[in-house]
Amino acid sequence: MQAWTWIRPLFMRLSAALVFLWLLNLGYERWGYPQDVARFSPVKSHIDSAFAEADIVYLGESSNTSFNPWTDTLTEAISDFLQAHLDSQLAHGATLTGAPGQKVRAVTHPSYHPGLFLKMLELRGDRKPLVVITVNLRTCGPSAVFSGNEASNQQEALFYSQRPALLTRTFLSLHHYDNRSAAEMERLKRQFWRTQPLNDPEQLPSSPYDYTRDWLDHLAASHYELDSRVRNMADAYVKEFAFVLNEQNQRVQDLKAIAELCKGEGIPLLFHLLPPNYAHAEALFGDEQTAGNLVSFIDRNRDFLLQQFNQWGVKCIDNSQWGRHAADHGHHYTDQWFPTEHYDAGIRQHIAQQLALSLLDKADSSLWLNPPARNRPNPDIPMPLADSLLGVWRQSVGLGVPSWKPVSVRELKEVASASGLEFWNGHYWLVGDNAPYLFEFGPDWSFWDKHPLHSKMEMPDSLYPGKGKPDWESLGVLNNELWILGSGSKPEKRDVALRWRGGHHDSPPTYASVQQEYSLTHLYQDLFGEFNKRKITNNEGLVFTPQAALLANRENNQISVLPLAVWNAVLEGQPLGEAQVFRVQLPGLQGQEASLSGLYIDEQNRLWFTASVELREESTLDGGIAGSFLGYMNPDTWMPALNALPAHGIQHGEDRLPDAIWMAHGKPWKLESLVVRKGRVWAVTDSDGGPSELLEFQLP
Amino acid sequence: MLFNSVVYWLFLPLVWVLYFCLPQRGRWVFLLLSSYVFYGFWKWEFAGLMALTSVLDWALVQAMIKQKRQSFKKIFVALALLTNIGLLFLFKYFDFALGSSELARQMYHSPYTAWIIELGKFTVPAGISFYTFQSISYVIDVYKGQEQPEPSLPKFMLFVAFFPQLVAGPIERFGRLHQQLFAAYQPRWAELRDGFRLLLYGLFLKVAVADNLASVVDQFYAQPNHFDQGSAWVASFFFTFQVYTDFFGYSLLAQGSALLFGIRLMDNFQKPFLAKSIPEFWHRWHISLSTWFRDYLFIPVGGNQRGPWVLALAVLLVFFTSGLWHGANSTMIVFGLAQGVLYLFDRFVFKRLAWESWIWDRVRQVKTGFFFMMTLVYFRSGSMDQAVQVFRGLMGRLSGRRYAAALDQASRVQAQNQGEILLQKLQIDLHIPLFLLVFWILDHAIFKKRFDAWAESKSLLQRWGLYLFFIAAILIWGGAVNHPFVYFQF
Repeated sequence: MQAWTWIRPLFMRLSAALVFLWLLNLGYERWGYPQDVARFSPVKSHIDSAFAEADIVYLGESSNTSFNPWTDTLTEAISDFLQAHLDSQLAHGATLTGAPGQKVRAVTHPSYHPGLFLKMLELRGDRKPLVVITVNLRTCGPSAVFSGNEASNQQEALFYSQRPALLTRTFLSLHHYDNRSAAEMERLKRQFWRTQPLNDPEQLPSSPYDYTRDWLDHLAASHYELDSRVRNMADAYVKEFAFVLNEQNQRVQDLKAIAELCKGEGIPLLFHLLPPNYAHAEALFGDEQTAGNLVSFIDRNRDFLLQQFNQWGVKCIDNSQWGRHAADHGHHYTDQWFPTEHYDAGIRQHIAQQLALSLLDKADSSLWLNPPARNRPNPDIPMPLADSLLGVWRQSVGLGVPSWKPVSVRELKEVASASGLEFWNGHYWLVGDNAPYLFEFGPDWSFWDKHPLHSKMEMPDSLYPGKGKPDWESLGVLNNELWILGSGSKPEKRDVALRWRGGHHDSPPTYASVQQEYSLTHLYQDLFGEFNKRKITNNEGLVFTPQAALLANRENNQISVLPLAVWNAVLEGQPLGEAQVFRVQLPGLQGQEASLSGLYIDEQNRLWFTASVELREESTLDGGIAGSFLGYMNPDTWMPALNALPAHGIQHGEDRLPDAIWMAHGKPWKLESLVVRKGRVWAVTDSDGGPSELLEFQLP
Repeated sequence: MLFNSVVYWLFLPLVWVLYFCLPQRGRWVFLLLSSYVFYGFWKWEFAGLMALTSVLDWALVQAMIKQKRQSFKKIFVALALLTNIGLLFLFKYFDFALGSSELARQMYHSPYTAWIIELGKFTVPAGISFYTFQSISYVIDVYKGQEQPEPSLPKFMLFVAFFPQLVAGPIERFGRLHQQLFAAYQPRWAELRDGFRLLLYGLFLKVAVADNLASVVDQFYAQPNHFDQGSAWVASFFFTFQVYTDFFGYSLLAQGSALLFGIRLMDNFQKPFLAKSIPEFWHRWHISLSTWFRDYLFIPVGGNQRGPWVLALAVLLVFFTSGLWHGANSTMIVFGLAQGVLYLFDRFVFKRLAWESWIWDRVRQVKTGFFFMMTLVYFRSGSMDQAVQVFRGLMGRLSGRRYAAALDQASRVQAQNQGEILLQKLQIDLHIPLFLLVFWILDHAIFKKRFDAWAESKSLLQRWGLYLFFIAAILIWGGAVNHPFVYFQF
């Protein structure tokens, strides 16, 4: 029995400690707890008063109160708009059917979610107001579920309880809540992205990515040339929306628990689903028809949630589709560079209106408040919209560019690597970048002849040896003479122009037809710099107007406009006088901008071009070609460059965007040049080794 | 499971009651299971890792003792060391060592190894450094013939996993802990009473002192270049005592928990801020680690028996390793090496300034504490850049910043609009320095002995007055910032 002597002193001391704790609780409840509530859980008093006074308790996160400082003159919260709608409608004869009264109180806390709303309901008391629960899709995703802020939210929620005050404070001291560290949350988030498959064969189109992490890896490894804000934005959208919601999801379980609690207690309940930024998700990754789009995930998860709500018998106001296809939908979001549900007054008002409608009978539509969609209190502070950069992004990833299917494709067996095409004197003329001939085709594209470009002494056997080729890349017609230009991509041998004047199809196909050979050294030097620094010269397009010569440099998509007098002077060995240069902004594929490869001016003075995307790392496609575009600039777009020639020197004009552009449909062609005539576009390809191909497009 | 969690305070009495309800024979098995529950409560995968370490060490020692030739024995010891250090490296230093290398990238993109990278980057198994060192000491002690090997694997697993000292020590030696774990014991009031006292005082240090100090320190270290010079000094001073009270508090909680089962763990701290030199400081601070390094590294590489150069190298090696042990970060290595240099400075230079006087002793104490506080800047900083920022703040040399309080409202708004960083003062609740002062007076002026022994010598009123103060401080003024034990990360 000696061994049990410890029981009595232990019992006495524990009893004394319990008495002390009881007294401590009394003292703390009176003098310490109110200050701690104010400090650690300032929202609690709002919850208490909302459940004590209101007929409609609106539980929301930052979407309720965030207003857009750039576009809002109205700063009312969604719940304020709801109150205003109810008041005005009820005053004009509408009747309230969905709530016990019209008094609205909101409890709003940034980054709160259904799990915390559920805890708020612990403080509901005996009254049974209508509870409106805000639901947004992002809150169900891994970024929100495994948020680094969750521990502080949970700490705050400790006070949403009816337990003795001292016990709550003890739980705070001993961190008795979900207090997983930010690092642990980050690990769980990454684990989720790595292990949760992105598939739902019944409701989702097949995704090119098996897991979210694959998608993020792809984004991280591409589009280096684009503004980091857009890249970060794309990354954030994938992280926030690329997941497949299921019943195991913590937020779904919390929503279900809310539904069951309210059903069991007879508390009226209304969920309302917020609109995600569809516009930017679509701008970043395309619409539902695009492979690898994001909006399908949003749609699928939305459908899943609505289905769940339906199963649980809870009414839901679905605002998720608000303005989905409106042109300026994305402008209504305060955070332009990150997916949030922070809206301007237009959307807030609309959400409130839909909520009010669901609670009213005989609502009068003339009474709805209608804040101007883009009211701007301070015109000196323009809203930093992401749209302009998103436009560049869309082009870079090949979104929004329609494809154009050729009506016919045929092989040009006679030409190995077509690079320049021109129509002159009723015939088509081609050069190849490694062939020492000018190829002539009839108007029906029947092969006519090939004309040697060198004297017999200098003529290679068939093709140029690799290092020695002049790299003929462009053809142009000036004064009924054909000009053939080397690309300039290597010094001396490629700084060459040939003037061909014997181009009639009945002329003898001899070298004698070549009028003269010129050096383009001065031209290329003055435009692009000295030889040893001229890494960016690759002239692939040439076209003449009655006033000027236009040259297209593939490497930087620069078009140089030279007055004909300047052109002639340069060919005579004089330094480049004056010129206007401008850059053409082109779309891209797989993160690389397309590069100009040919120019042509049609009868309507539209400046046509071909452009192709040659991959820097030739790993994914044969020949390293991702595809090609063709398009044009209207005279209004490009012709001002002719009139803006400087008196002296080179003037850099503003970048220009094409007025029309298409992606060549079919395989990843490498379009090199084109001719437009009689409602047809004829484009030739360089097939790198095999015979060149001729693509015929019918003008729309 | 953390000692400062509600779950632990439910777990401990439950395990205690069930433990003593069981017959003596089966108690250790229950304690082993409880220890794995304690550890696995946090993450089961890591309980598996600890089991794997234990099994490997036990098996390698069993194989070693069967060898007759010394060279074969050495092979098994080397294997055990490699295994322990390898696992420690894999889970603690992997991310530090591989960083963004190609191997790390490839591992992260393999479905089979990605989890290792994620764990290495974001989660270090709690206490892996502690139980690994405890395991290594067993292997070496058996090899040297100083301890008899444990023939039972489960019993050895209990030695490694005994929950009160599992995740942050004290790092116990096999000979001392093992026999207590399996000795017959009936609960006695004296041990229970002392255990409760240690638990209460330890919890006060952790929850009321360390966690409150942490709230101030975290505020500063979140943006050290946003605070004025005075705040930099306050934060550095507070962090020194945050680490001390956090780890000292943890050690007392470990000792108190173990004492409820009749097991006495070694003292890990002996009033380190009364030390007059860095060598003496390390005899008083984290004693179980200091003695571990002394026995298993310092002495084997030459110690102080082979002249001053070998001594200097041995000291630097020990402190370099100690820095690395504390964390896989360059700042920790600098922390360790700085301690080593200060150790040698005291050993070879300051020691010569022998001057018997009360004032000189105080100067030496202040000097030792000050140097330790300065090196802790590296201990707390997440990067070398941050450490530099803190030192610049301490010296009042944050150029390009203005002190917000010195500006009128209009100038402040103007400066903020121009993107200037305005220096602030730390927000400190009154009870935080008050609790620190209370602790300092208690620990250095009143408690001549360990708290449990001191309390025994005092009257009921004195004792219970202090107990109730501790309880109220823990429950009402406990730090709200969730700050795990500093040493758990090691």
